[in-house]
Amino acid sequence: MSPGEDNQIEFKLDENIEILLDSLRKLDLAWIGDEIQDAILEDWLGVRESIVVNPAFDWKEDQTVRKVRGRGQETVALSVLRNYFVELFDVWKEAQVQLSEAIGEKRLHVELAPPGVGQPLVVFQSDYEKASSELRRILERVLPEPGTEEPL
Amino acid sequence: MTAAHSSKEAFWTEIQKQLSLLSAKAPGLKSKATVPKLYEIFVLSCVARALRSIGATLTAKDSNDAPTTTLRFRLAPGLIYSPTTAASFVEISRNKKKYELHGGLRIKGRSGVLHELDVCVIDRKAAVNCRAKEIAPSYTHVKLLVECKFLGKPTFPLDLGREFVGLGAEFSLRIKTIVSNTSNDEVHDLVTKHKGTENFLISAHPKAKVDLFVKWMANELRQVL
Repeated sequence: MSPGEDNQIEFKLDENIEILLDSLRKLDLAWIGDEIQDAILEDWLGVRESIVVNPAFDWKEDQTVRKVRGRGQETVALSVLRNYFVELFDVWKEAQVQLSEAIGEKRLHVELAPPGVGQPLVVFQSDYEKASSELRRILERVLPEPGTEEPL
Repeated sequence: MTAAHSSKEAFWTEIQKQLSLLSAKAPGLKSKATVPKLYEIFVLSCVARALRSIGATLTAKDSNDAPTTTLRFRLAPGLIYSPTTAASFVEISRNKKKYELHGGLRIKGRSGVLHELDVCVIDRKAAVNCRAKEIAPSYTHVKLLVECKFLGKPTFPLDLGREFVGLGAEFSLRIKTIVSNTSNDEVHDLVTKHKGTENFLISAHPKAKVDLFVKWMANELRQVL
């Protein structure tokens, strides 16, 4: 989406990312916004460092300067969102299935509770899977396969 | 305004709309503390699968050591005997010996300091004794320890690798591994140099990768149980 912007000298968040972080804060999910910001900064620092290590000037005109490209702000932000809103739900669902099968108890219920004798926590509401199908579809369409480095 | 610009704007507006919808349906995500726990339970379920695959019999137990159909895990690490925060566990029977599979348990390391083990297998006899005497199990009772990290960002941070090496020094045992949905080659080098192992890029997908992890775990457990 913005392949050239990751080589900028001064760190600056894209406007869309700023808006996204603001939305997350309003949704009481500021911690996810913070992680996105950290991840983008780390991605940018990796590129920045490579620019410093490989200065642009050179005695040999024909020497190829290694191009290091970050994932890009939008790819990083969407990857973080995918991990928390899609992957984590799948992980939780799979945990329950695997435990039930390994223990051999079809009625097994797995829950998470705060310290003390508090009520178990509702992590995802029962209709979360259906509700998340659209975000899952969008992210599958735009994100590279995990492990690849190509920006959007 | 160009067509590309307006389509990009529409894309991000849609993302925000979806997040707004989902945040109301995922109250657990409001707290950052929930995330690592869900992943720990997932990894624990992989260990349970591995145990089952080597012929172990597993029984879900509540904090009073009674059979249960509800496995309740705690949101914060705790002691094995704590009356208010004691969690469920899985009893393991294999080759006429018994063990317990726990999540988020505090155990005494070689230095005598308590450490939280995200997932661990300990001797059943020692566990029962510790519950009765209200003491923490020690590193000598541990058969397996797994450190779990589910991260939003794509690269596993080096400092977490260093932490794991420190934790590993407190527990001398064959199976000490770090499991994460992310990866980092430097952390791989660091951990393996210090006689630990890493299992990176383990998440619900791809399933084949989870199956490989379970197989590896089963082979390791066969050596120590």
